[in-house]
Amino acid sequence: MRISAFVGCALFSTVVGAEPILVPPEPVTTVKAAYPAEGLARRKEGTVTILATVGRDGVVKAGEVAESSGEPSLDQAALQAVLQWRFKPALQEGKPIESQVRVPFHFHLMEHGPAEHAPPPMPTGSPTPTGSPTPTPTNEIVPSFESTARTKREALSRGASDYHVDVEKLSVVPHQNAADYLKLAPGILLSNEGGEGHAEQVFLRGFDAREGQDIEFSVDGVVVNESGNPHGSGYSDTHFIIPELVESLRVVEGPFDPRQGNYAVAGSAEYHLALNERGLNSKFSLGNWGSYRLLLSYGAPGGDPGTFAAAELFQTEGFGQNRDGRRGTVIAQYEGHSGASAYRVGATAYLASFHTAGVLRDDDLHAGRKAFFDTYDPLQGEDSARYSIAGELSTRADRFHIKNLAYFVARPLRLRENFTGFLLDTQEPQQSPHGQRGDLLDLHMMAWTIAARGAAHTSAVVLNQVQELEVGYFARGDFVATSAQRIEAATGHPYHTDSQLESHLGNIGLYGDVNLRFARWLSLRGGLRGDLFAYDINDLCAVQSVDHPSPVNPPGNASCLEQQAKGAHREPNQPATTVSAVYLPRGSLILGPFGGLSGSLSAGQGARSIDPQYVSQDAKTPFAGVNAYEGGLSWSRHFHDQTAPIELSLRSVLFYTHVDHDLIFSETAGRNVLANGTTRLGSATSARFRGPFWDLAANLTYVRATFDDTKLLVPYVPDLVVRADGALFGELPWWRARLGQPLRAALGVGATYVGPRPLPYGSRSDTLATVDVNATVGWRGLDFSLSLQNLLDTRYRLGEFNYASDFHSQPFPTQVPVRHFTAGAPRTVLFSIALNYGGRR
Amino acid sequence: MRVLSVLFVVGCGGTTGNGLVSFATRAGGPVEAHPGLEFDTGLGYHLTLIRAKLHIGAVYLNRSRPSSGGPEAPCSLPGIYVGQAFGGEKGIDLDLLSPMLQPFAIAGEGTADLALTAEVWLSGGDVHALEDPTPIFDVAGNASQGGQSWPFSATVTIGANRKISTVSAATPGTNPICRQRIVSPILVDFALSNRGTLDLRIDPRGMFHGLDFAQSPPGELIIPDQAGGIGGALLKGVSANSGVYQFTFSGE
Repeated sequence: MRISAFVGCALFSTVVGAEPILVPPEPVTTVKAAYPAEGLARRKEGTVTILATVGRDGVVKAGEVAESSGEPSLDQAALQAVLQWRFKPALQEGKPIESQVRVPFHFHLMEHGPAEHAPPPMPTGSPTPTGSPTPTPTNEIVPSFESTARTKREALSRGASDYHVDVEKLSVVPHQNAADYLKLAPGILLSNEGGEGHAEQVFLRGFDAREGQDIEFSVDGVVVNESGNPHGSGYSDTHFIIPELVESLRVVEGPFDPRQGNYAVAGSAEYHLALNERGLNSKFSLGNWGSYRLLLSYGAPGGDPGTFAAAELFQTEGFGQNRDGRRGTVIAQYEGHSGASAYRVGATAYLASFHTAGVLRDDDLHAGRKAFFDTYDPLQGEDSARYSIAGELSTRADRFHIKNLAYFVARPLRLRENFTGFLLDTQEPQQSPHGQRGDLLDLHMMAWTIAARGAAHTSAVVLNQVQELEVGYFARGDFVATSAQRIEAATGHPYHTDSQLESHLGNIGLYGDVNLRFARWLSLRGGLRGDLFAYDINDLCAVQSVDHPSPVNPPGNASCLEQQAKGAHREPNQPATTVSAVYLPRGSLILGPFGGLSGSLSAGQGARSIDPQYVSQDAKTPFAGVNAYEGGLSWSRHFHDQTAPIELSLRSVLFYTHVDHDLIFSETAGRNVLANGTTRLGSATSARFRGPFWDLAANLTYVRATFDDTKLLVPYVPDLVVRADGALFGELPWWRARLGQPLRAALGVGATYVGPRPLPYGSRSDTLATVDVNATVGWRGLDFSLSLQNLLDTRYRLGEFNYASDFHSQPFPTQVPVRHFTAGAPRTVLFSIALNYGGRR
Repeated sequence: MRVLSVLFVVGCGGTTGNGLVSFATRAGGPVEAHPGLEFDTGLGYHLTLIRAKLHIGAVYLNRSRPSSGGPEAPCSLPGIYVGQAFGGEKGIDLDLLSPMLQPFAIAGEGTADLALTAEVWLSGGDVHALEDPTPIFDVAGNASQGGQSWPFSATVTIGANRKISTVSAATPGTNPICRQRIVSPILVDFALSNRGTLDLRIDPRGMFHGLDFAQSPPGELIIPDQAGGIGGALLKGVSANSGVYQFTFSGE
């Protein structure tokens, strides 16, 4: 038996004498193909090869006719049979992985024989009866067979902080958006002071990664982080991802993989999209707060889950004031194979518009001047869009797998936030006399991104072990125009330009990565990554105030001035260019497994490119760096039976990270700004238990993050995060007799607990505890679900801050720090009806 | 769950630095104040005050100490404010001829930081509004010198009547009206603490050092509520940042 596998569209093979790194799926339950009456009547013969996708649970998720017999009825009979097979799943280094298996079915007519065909590879075990006077179909006995397994390779684990999160049955746990799935990895808290559609703020293991500035987000290789975004370079809005399409997620909580690029300071998160519910799907959801959602998706029945089209429309009036929102998304993707090559093309379009309540002052809440879900500034909100196309080609030649991905993204964005009310508008001498006109910050961005990435992978047997080598590149150019203006509350007119930048940003990265296996139980994985960051910035508003302006040519109220001190003329812009390189070693030592127990030691460096506004001519090191170290243990046990595997896995890790220039929230800038170095020390523990009718996951993280200079706690980052998800699912057999088909049911529960978060000025936030529940019942192609988020209707504060603001809510200007908060959503009820047509049901 | 949180914070937590504080605020005249307070001014007048009421909107404390010179500073100090106290919805009217300290209606708030500068906002509301009819200083008394006397009274408001014209078209924002309403910088040096008390004693005697009553003929004098002349000198005295306003802070 020869097994070969695509590894991230690269090929490697097991080698005789070496420890196998890929174990093929083994059929444990087969169903014979019934010779179709139509084919029998027409005396049709032939061979059909079915390409079946076998999930981690051993169930055939999809099948397609790879080689047709030329007779549709034979093709369909083979397809129907293989969809009922059950496998012991393929294993990669002992872990179940999704795989694809080619299964040939031979349909031959003989003058005698059984009435059913049994396909290879299962030997029939008995000779074919002969002598029948009438033509009957029969088996072709195959003593051994040759099959090819094709699988998307999961990246090699980089230790205990490398989380391959299979959403699978936990998809029944309520998830508002794709970012919500991040909670399945330990130590992650999501917050959002920006409202529906605003990028989620991510706290990860003591990092305030804001909207992705410290986490590299990608979707099937397409990086989401937006370089040069005025809300923070690296801003990552994942709302364009339709949650139902998220098949898996890889979260690496640290810079340990040389493939991780810019922004992978706290770590990286890569989404993999697929449509496993094949056929035509429609889902309509109706909820409180005037919310509704319509989702349509389509994937050819039996086809590759990577080929699909999906569209979503969503609208809500929002809970409380100024929280209405609308969005629409289309994602279409096609995956195909041709010989030794695989390819994928995809496109997305996303439009969103919503309003934001923003922050509330705690003293106004307690004094009754504001209610919990009120707002100060109804002009806050966001209008954004994202359009992208991507194409990927992978080929194998000899012992090499070569993969290249290219993509293009267009991203307009307008974001309006007001954190401070009427506090910042100081009277400049050249300005006409004015009071506080309002601090509403209006950010505009139009960004164009073109990027490519690729890798070549090969392997060889050395020391009787398979050794692997991969080299890769990343190239990205961003052309970004941004502006930040202040809006006058009374008129809605912009009255001041804070910044206006034209940024041309470049990033070229190269890496080499090896997987050295010294013994079955000892591997060293890692390598070196080098990144070159180039900045070409034209600050169109470089001068904003002038000492002793010209009396004959007064600058008046203009923001971007053409004078310098004493009234001397200058143009208002200031170009700045700089280039810097950084080299980032990363490695992991993997020990084991010993009876399912593995240990790992990892170390690595990461980098985050700097905001364009901080670039000055020829300034060195325009990036922030992180050093991360950790040690972890993981244990897993798989129990395979004839119906479904049972898997129990536990892992725990101790980690230490140091960032030389951290990002700390600034209410005046409305985003994170550069701060001093910080250090964090902590631990994370997670567990997952999966079985035939359950899927349970839980994680707990504790971290202490401190400033290097003062040893004080880093504000806002939670030090204790606990998350639990659970799903029960199955068929309700007592309904089968009445309905003819089984009634499916699933119950999902997700719970989050976050300890009191440190806030500036020595105080702590409230705790945060929420429970979300979803119940689903389905029959044939119909599903009904009821989702309740924040089941207990807890009045909680999603984000809390201590700083000074003045929202004109008190008799005189408020200028000292007080508690502010963003309100978490009350109990949200969503009822959904889903219909599948033409799928497997 | 709450018990778990408390145990967690106590056992494993830390701090981000100084805390938020709340404090009481009181204001009044000097300790020796009484109706009929008598004193001599720097210009040689002997004054007897029979009425001296001052309206304060709010007081602020800042942890920066502005340096002299340099470009014109905005009305608010550029540093970080560490304390604030509001006299009430419209402020508070103080009798400067009483040593009794009157409590502010709204508790002060701030951070446990060192305060180096204080501001007194003489306003009935928005310090940027050109018009504010609130009587800031209501005073009556008698001034005498060399056998001549000037029974006087004054009601000071700070509005358009106090607006100082700009001298250059290039800098129309110079001398905004808010500058006339904010007494700053008043030097202080104390650290705020939670549940402490901020006391402000305002000595009316320091407000009259620049007043030259002899510019008017002896007799009943109603000091005009305007920017120039003796009216301007009175406002300048009311907003003097030294010798008039004295802050102290005492811990719990």
